Amino acid sequence: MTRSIGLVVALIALGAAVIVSLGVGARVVAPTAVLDALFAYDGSDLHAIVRDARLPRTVIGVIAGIALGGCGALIQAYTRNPLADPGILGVNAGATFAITMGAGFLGLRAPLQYMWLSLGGALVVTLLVYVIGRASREGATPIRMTLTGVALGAILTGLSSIVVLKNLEIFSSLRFWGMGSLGGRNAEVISTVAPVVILGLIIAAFASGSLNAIALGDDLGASLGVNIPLTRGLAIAGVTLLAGGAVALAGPIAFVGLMVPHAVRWFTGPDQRWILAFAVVVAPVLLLVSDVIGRVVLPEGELPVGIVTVVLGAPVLILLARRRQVSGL
Amino acid sequence: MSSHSRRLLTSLALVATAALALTACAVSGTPAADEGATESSDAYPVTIEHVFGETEITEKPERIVTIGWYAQDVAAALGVVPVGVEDFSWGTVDTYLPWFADKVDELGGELPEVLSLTDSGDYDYEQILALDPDVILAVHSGIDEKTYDRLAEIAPTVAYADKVWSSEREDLTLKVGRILGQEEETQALLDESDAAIAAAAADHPEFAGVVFTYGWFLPEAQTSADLYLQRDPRVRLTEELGFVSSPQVVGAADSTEDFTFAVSLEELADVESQFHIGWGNSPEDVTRTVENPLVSRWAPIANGSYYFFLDNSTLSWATTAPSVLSIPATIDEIADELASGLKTN
Repeated sequence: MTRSIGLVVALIALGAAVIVSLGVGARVVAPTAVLDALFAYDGSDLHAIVRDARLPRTVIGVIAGIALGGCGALIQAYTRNPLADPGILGVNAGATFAITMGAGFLGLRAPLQYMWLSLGGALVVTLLVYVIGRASREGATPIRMTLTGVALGAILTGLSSIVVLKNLEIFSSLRFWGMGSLGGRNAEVISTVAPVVILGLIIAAFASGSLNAIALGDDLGASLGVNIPLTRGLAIAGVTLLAGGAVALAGPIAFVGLMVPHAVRWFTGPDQRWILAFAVVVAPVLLLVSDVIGRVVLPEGELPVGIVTVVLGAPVLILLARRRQVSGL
Repeated sequence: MSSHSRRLLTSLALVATAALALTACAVSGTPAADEGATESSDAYPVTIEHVFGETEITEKPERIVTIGWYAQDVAAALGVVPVGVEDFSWGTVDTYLPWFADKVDELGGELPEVLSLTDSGDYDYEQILALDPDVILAVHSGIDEKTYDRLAEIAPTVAYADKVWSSEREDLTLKVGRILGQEEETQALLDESDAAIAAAAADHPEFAGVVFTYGWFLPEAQTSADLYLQRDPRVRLTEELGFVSSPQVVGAADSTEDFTFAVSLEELADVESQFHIGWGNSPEDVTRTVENPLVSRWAPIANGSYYFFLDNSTLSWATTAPSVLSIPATIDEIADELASGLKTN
């Protein structure tokens, strides 16, 4: 019951964050004017700012937040690591690497191309991590996969940096996207990526019941009737779709996928289904609030949301690490 | 995000040199021909003030290394081919700026060595040391004090006057002229450039009084527009053609130490402009910029009154760092290109 009320509160917070995101920026727009812009558009500059710039930006923030939160919840349960995030399996690095190469060398810069590159990169890395991690007697244990993912992620991030730093044109094209940004994207990207995120979310919801059983350990999970390989496969598919979708939407954004599922676990307890439900509502709130802060914090121009989440996220991570009892799984 | 622009432009000057450095192994640099021997020995020592202090040059330098842009053109125009220059590869331009290469050819000199960079993005100081320069000219560059100190250990180094990548053509050109002891010739070169600009402006009376802006293309996911300030040479050149800087550009001069300033796209409508000039690396850069929902509403873009330097990187360079060599060679073409984009009502 408390959890249901909590979820309603979180949803209200999300609604408030959406309204703030539509109203705040270089130009302050009153809430009534925001509504006018959406429902009684008059073609003025102010209405265009709300409808054509902030609305797509906010929608991207909500969808990317859902994807990051869902992905983080899934990956923490799957790796049985309460401090895991999409970065830990190298998934973000793979998606970013693919987009950097595609946009830089092949000139693939349309939203649809971004998405396929992102998903392809995420999938290839996930499979690589799985195959490499499996090459031992115990099979693909979460620890082996995490280690492989961290290593692969480091390699791919390094390669992306080399390419971007050594090629001026790629650097100038990707310098904002590469920091993680909700704004300035073609609105087309929304309709392209949203179905992928929704599919990922359905898979995540489907897997979360079985993940509860796996949390007790593979053997106990199996004795409870859970199909371990199927659950793992679903989790990997869900992580790929959600992480790939998030990167295609907003570039690599750190900490949200780590922090949110971990923090909501204090409130929800270890039930994976509740964690997922809360994470996909709270993560977009955090992302939108970070984005709004990024819009107003500089006297001129804006700070990309990826920078704000890191600045906000690092202290929170320290706080998490200092807690006497880390909320386990 | 003007700090990123600076980082980018610094990278343009720094990082880009690495690629072709390996191919440029022949050391060149005989100070070509003695025909420009108007210098008098009593011109020295020459003391030049710059952002990091004063530099004294005691005799006419023969081996010159240039850092950044601009100085290599002036030196060559005065008959001295530098022994080391930056890599100017960009789009259709390969290694050397065409008017510079032409001038070196005309002087019968050898094309200089291209400066390379280390993995950390520093200049390869050992390479510069091996070039044995008499003077290092970084008069239009983005070097920081640490880099200046390293360079000054190798040879007397002259940095930019006040701000990174910001200089005035007259001031910069005369400075290089004084360093080479050829001030009179330098003034003649400046007069020639001014005359070429005036002629191009006279051919295009429609430019006069048109309020303009000059800016970056919008990279993916950027939410503000970067516009060049008046202290950037490209803005000054455009003004000399008859255009007038937007009052918002003029007013932003003191808001930053940079050569660009950022305007949130939400406030772009407040920037007065009848003609917008930009550049891009690919057609997608231009499309993304002009089709952005807020940029497309902005007066110059909405009226179709804009021009992007795109295919011809020679012209992109010519407007970016207009020198006494590049101006006579390119100003007519630049003016014609701008005219092709200008729509006046």
